[in-house]
Amino acid sequence: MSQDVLNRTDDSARTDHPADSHADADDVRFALQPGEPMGRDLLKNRFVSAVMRSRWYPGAFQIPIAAVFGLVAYQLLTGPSKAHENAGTALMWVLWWPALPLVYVFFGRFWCAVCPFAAISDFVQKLVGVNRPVPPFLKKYGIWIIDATFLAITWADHVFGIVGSPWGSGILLLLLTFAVIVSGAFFQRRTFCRYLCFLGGLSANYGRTGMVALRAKPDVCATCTAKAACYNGTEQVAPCPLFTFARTMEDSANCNLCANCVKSCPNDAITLTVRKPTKELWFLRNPKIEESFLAMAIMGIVIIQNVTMLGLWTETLDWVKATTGITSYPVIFTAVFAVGVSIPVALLALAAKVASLGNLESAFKNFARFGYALIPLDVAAHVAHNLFHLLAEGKGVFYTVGALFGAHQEGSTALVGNAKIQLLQFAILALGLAGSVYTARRIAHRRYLTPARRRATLVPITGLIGVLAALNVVMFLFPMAHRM
Amino acid sequence: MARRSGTSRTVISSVAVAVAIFAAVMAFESRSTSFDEAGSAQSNSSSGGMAADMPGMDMSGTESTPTPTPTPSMAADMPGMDMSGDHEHATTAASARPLAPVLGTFGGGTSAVLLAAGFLRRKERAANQARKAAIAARRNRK
Repeated sequence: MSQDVLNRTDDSARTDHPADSHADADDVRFALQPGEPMGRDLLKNRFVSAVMRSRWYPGAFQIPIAAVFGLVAYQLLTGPSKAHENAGTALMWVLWWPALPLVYVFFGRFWCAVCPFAAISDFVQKLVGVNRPVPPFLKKYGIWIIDATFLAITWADHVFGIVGSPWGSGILLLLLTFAVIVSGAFFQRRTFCRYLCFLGGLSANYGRTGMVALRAKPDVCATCTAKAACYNGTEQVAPCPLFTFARTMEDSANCNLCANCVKSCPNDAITLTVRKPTKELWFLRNPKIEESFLAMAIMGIVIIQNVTMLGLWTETLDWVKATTGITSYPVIFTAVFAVGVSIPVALLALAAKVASLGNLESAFKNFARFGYALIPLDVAAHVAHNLFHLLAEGKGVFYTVGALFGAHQEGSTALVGNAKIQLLQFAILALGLAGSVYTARRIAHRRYLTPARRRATLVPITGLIGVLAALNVVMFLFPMAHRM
Repeated sequence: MARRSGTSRTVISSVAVAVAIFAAVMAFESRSTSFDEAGSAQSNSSSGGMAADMPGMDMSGTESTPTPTPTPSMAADMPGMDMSGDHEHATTAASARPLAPVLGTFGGGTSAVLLAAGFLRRKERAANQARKAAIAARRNRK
């Protein structure tokens, strides 16, 4: 039956029908397409299975990470006030923050399973948790709150000083901890991580490029009588912390690989597979505009972070001061920030509008659908930017942590030379560019039947990807300031 | 009515705990500040505010601007390479951090939240138990 429909739609699309019938044919064909194919199940490997099913997983990772987090918080609040002497700043902004996007690429949202904030939330919940359901407005607008928080924190970083000031970073940690405690005390599971954490939003977006995917076997789940044990948990196993029902799960945005579902499923229906990076993006069914917006906002944030670390930035500040007479840094930065974040969003809106003229879908839908194609370039730009800090300031981590134990070392903080770092940055950007272009192509080919519609879509979207990649390349050509 | 008074009690107790913790930490802070003033001649040039310490808030062109001019080598900024001898500045900045009020507010707020949640949980559990008992009693009557 479905094959008949598919044949009919193929036939109708081949003939030159009016535009709306093309759209209908593509809609039917798109709805009938299968989801992301899954590879070999890693849980069939005895070692992986034993680790994931162990009661020490993920706690065995969580405990040492929480201990390091405690040290970081202590150092930030009470340690040296200069960033380059503070072990907390070094561990947080030179080691952890640059390593984070790499974790997303390799292991999806695994960080969220071992995040110390999540551990605090769980602890508070056990202690005094009221376990109220998630408020409907959070379910509806949570991702927009995440978008706004992410932008606000980046803005505050530049205006009040967070990254460059241990005290500022410490205050940020305290604010986050307080928000996590409030959420854990009053709401179910990890409401904060799923609906409010700005890092969770970033993780959800970047995690889609991850090489590990956890899914349920639909044929086994169809006969399940365990009353959604994977979602609700059992007496021994906690429920899914991110409110994800494995049976209907189509993406990894809200799976942190905590393995609760693996432990609670009585039918061994959960699979853990390795896949190509970005593969999930090729098979998106229900794109959301807020997630697309976040992807573009992150691109804007990376551009802003790059620009403000260039010599050009100081010259621009001087120029603005001279021409406008405005000397207030917050005012100037706010204006630049608003423009910087708006540029990628506006460019995608423009590309979506142009694409909509040829592919017969609304600009709104094009914006939502193809914002995801920018995620690989987003991740690459983020990794490339932070790679500089990791490799040019990496030894600072050893120096500052060593100083805590009385080992005073001196010397350059660079792990490798600037030329090598730049080469790596360009290589990563090239991978991101290739990933984004390929993802856009896969999405267009899957969504649209006729070559004309695909072409009309891909020309503006690929052009946009090219422009954003070129912008990043230009910025990486200039020497960048250190974070510490 | 009873429910309302229960909620009010929860809120009042939570706020009281928060205020008490905040006051205690502030008292500790004022003691330690007076000790600092008496025991050392450190000048607190930043007048207790954070502004001068915040990148972006210091327009004087000194080292704490948010955007240090990028230079290929920033040896002077690296650990162990700081030859400027301004360690005194670092010490002063560290003592200017309002640690006690911040931790007091954090501790007070956290305690208030935990207390409020604890009360609510107790109340809800009691209500649940009462409901279950009522259901059981109705069944027994039948």
